[in-house]
Amino acid sequence: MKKIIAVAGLMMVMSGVFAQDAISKFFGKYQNDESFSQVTVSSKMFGLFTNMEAETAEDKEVLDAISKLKGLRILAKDDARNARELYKEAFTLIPMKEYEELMSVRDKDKDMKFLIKENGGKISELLMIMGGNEEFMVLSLFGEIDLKQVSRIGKKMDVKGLENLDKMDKKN
Amino acid sequence: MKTIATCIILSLVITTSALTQSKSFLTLKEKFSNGKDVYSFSTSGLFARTILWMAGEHEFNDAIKSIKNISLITVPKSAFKSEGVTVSGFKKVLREDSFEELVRVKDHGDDVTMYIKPTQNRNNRYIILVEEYDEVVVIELKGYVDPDFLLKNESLTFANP
Repeated sequence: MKKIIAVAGLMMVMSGVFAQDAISKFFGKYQNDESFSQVTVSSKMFGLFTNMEAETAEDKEVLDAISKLKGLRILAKDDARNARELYKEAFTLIPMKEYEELMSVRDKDKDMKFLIKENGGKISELLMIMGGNEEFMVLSLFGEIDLKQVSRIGKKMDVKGLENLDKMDKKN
Repeated sequence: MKTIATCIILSLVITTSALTQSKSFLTLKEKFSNGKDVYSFSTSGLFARTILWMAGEHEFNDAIKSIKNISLITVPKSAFKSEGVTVSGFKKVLREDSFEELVRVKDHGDDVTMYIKPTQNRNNRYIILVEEYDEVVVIELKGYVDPDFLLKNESLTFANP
């Protein structure tokens, strides 16, 4: 009987682990590593923008887009000699089948990949993975995501990297 | 007569100060106020803005233009241990006091969490809980902070590495 309970308990724990989003696996692995920086923004923060007054129509669009977000998580490491290794490791931990590649950026300093997860025709998660010579970052933005507004949101939040999505707009 | 006037003023100051602080902040203050190396103060938003203006912190000054009161307490981690309480326990007190987490930043060993307790007429309460290696700092703001400023400043580390 004890064995059955133990197995059932283990299965519940395992199902919880598998239910975690991609970045949670990274957070789980590196949450106690002080060389990493972590930021978690809750849906409450984005909700504060719901009733804000906008000065222009463009601002209104950005505020509407922000208020539909449910959360943001960032895991980053500066001065990381193993940044390229971390970048490769990210792809082994992320269940790539669940994501669709949106865009890749490669320059002499860094590689970046933007991935999206769609649910019922709506984008529910945007994942940005960046590995440079000495810097590494994984960003997960989730909620109801309007891709056209993401680079503007990035500017509003001073999160570097998201401005690259402008390139996609210009290509389309 | 002077004694009566002093007593009245003192009672008013103490009452006003108590009213401007949340139940969570008061719980922490009552627990540690007599502890060694525990420091706390409470000041009006106007005074804080004057100091920030003098220090040239204009952006921060603008962000807290609608703040009416600021309270701060610093408690050594050793005091938590000797009282048999934990920072996680204080976070539970915050949740029970209707504070909700807005943003959490962990950077180089420091752990900063900002909470909000929204109220009517922009009379929100904000708690900033800073957990350092050997000290815990709790700052409470009463009033209104521009969400734009909050969102922008959670990620300053990433914007300006």
